Amino acid sequence: MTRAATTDGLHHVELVMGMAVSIDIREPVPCAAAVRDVVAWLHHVDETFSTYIDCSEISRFGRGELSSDQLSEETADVLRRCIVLNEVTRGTFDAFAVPAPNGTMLDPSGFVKGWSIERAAAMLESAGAVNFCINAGGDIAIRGRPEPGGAWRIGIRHPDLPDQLATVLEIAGARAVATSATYERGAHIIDPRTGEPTTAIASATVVGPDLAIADAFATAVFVMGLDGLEWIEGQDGYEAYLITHDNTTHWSSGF
Amino acid sequence: MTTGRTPHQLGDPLIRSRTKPFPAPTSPPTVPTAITAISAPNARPVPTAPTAPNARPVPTARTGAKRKHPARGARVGALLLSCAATGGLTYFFADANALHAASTALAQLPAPIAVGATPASTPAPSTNATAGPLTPATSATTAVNAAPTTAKATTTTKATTTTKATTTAKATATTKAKAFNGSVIDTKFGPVQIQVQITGGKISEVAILQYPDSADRSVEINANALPTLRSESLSAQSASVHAVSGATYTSRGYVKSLQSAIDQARAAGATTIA
Repeated sequence: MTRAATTDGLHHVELVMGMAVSIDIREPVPCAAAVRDVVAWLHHVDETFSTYIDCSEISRFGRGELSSDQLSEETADVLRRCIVLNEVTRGTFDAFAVPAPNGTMLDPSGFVKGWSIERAAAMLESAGAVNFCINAGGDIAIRGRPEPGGAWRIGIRHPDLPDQLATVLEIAGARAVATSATYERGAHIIDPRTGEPTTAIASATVVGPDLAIADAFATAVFVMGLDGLEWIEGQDGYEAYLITHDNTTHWSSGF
Repeated sequence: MTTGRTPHQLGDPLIRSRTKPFPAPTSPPTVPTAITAISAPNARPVPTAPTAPNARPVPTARTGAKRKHPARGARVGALLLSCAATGGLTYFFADANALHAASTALAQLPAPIAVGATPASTPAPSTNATAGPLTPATSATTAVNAAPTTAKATTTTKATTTTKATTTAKATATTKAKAFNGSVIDTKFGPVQIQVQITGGKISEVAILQYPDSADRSVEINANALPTLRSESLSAQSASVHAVSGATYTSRGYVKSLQSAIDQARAAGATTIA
């Protein structure tokens, strides 16, 4: 989509997986090739895991056209991790019991996005990038700092006001920020335990070391509602920030 | 168990000077531990799983006797659910051999993102060896009016950009100002479009390109609302952000998003905007 070599790094926006992925690298390292690799990787993930593409591996598997033996290692890996997360989240994140756009009940998208971005971050690190931020449709993986001594300032969108922020988090290091809410795409988050759309709270943000997990946790906390605050306390390294429909904000103790 | 802090009402100033720093990534996160613990029984040859230094079934400890063996009960439950959910999955999960095959295949993967291993296997570079503190900003609600361009039907967009750019050129001899036009946003009072100019990475000017004036009532409200909009945007510099986290926006939603505005400014050389 757009790419710009700024004076102090590299910036790229790619439309992929039905969203915009913004890559913001803050040092003048020659990582244009790595960014190209990341873009290719994201398109590969889309082709493999998209539940909007009928011939994607995940769609074919969901329809029973592929057996487990025919699954790629990558896909098997993702599905196994989803099973684990289903247990850890007490059934509130479930890739196997939510209706997918392709008509099946298999949709690991809530994990795949974070997982693929986390891997993209590793690719950039391998190429020598130290300070960067990848924002995949509102779910963010950061590394290092935006400038020496500074911290990444991550705005959390206000649930009712698209152009306003509910708060700003200052983060440095290897961190991930994921938010689940329904204001962009309607009540699409299904409580796997009931099969019904859930709208208990307005917005759930999870911060932690791994975006794949944070992504799934954000969905889980959104489904749990305020109970998610207590649950996240048991997940070392992960914190949650919730906004309820009365615009009240709730923070887990680690913030 | 602490369950968080006193709720705040959005809009109240969240005076939250930084609290305790985030735990360093060296401490084993719960989930990774759980994942290695669970995948181990199935993936016998997985070499990395048992070596997790502090492998402990953390999540199960909290759920009591019901989950003595995380690898078993809950997984079987999940599998049954899966099988019931999708025909194709029956093959995958009902067949232990297949599951095992998948597991061994996983073990041979050349160190993927390794849900659990990331902190240990990729030590942070020296410049950011320790995960920094995570602190909510002191201002709770920050109005940001730098709506993105690429609008639907904004015929005035291009023309205005150039004119505004020239007017500020004289003011900035050394640093070039760059203008970003927002989408035309339909408010309840009518369409509003804003232009933001970035000079040296900061918002230098906010101009209102279009505002509703059809109804008397609207005009009356706008007389107050729009200047506020403008000053809020200018004052938002103190809360400039690098990225915005929110519900997953579609490609179409992105066009209207704050992140889109940030990206446009960043592409033009600004280091922060909002």
